[in-house]
Amino acid sequence: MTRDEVRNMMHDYVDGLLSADDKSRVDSYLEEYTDVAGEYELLKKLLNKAASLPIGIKTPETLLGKISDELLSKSLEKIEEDKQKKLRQLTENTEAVGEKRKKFLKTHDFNRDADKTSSNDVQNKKVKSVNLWITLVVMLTIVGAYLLYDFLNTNLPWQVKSNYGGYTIVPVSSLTEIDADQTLNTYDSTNVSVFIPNAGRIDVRSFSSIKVIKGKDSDNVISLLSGKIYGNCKIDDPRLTIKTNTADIEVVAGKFTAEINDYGDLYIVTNNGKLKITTQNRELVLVKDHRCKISSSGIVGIPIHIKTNHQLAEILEQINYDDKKVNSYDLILQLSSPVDGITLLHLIMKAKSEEERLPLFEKLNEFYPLVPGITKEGILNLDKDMLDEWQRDIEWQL
Amino acid sequence: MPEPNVTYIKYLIGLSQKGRKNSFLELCELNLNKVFAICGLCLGDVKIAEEVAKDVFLSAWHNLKFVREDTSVNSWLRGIAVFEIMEELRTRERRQRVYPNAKKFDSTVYNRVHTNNQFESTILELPELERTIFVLHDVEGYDFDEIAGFFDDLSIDEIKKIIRTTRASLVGIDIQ
Repeated sequence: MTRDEVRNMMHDYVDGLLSADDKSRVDSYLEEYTDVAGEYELLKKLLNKAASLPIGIKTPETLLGKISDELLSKSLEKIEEDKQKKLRQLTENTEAVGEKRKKFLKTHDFNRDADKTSSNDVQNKKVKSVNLWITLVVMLTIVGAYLLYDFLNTNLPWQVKSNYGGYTIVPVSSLTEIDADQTLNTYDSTNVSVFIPNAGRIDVRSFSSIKVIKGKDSDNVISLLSGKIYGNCKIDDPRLTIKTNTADIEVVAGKFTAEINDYGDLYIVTNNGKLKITTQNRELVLVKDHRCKISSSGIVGIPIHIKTNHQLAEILEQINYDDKKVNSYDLILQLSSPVDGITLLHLIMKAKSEEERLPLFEKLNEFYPLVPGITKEGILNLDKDMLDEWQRDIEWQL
Repeated sequence: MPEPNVTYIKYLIGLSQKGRKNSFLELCELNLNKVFAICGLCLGDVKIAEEVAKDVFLSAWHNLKFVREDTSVNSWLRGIAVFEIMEELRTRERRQRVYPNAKKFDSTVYNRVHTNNQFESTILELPELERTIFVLHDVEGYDFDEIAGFFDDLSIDEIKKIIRTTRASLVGIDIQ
């Protein structure tokens, strides 16, 4: 073996690619020629060094921030994209129906052909009559198709299953299914699950009452008459609305509970869910892990995070959107922490003057610095887009 | 930074898979230096490496559902990093984005990656192809077959030859 051959084989040796015979040949050579053995040792050292390379490369400090910004903008883009997609689908569907109809009328436009080819008035009248009939048939077909679609879209009756305890469904029919206009009443120590196709599950707790208003894939509505329900929607935008005397709760996603107490007050908690609440005077989005009270007279309380400091929660429970003046801002600012981000933002929206808003803004800005596109002036002037954007940013970071 | 324990990492993955971005960012922070180091070593330019590293983590976010319980997150991320690096070397898309005036298939390093390690500095001075193949084989442990899969125009023998020459230049010995 020549020296150059051994030098080349050394690499296969360290890479574990040599046969047993070649290995022993190289070993014998290395024993004999110490200078080549020295090179072999250097090579092994190099590879050990490369395999256990300590990190000396300096990571740019901005990298993590860039990843975070990109994730945020991607999720905002996704929301916008979904909206656009739905809009596009709707437009395409409408256009397709329009095109189909145009095409149909064009190919069946006997009237025009008849005018050109016939001078006979009787013939003309006949053709017009046929045309009218065709239009009528098309219209009836469209109406029929819509009614059929509407009928097929219905997902009622819903399955009902008792986890424990007893319940009734009135007017009385099957105990395992509930249909439109039927009411489910539960007894003591009861938990009954109602399964809503393509939306999720509603658990009706003890001494509670719900009524099914509508059950369609795109429009499920129940009425919470009394007691407590727990909702678990595994898909986003399940198209489920819960109506109460004081508010309509539209489920955006996730898990939540809604309870009406003996005085008619409604308590809503979003456990990893998101709800859009509409009352007679107000509309608000209750983001995940927050709770909110709506009194029997429809007055909406300030959303409070479920992990808010106990003392602060007690103060916040006394505040609602319709209060003219709040005297406890100093204490609120003192006790608040980053989990109260959404609450502080709602207090800014609730505050009557810029002077009241300023300290709240400064505190919130300390926890969640403004992102590009949102300005202090915009927030203090209650710019809706900026408030929504900041809420999304806080919600995302919570 | 001390190595975080496996249970905690699994916990973070679980939360990230449920859509918790803050947990995912914590996961990113734990692996940021390692991922950036391999991007930096292969690409040499700090701005391009930063773009690629960012895309590695975004790609990881979109593919979180594929992380298996028995796989090390670090190895998984390094795998994505190698894929993104090779994609960049093929397409030069990030280079064009970062340096719009530069020629597309030019490998000039405009902003060299900073390191306080002498060995890394030496690797960074190697030409791009030699550097990438050396990092893939001798630092990251990819075998010749796998590396040949990344380069359409190089045979295994050619890759072996490049490795030999590169190693020789790094140890200071002359090999034909």
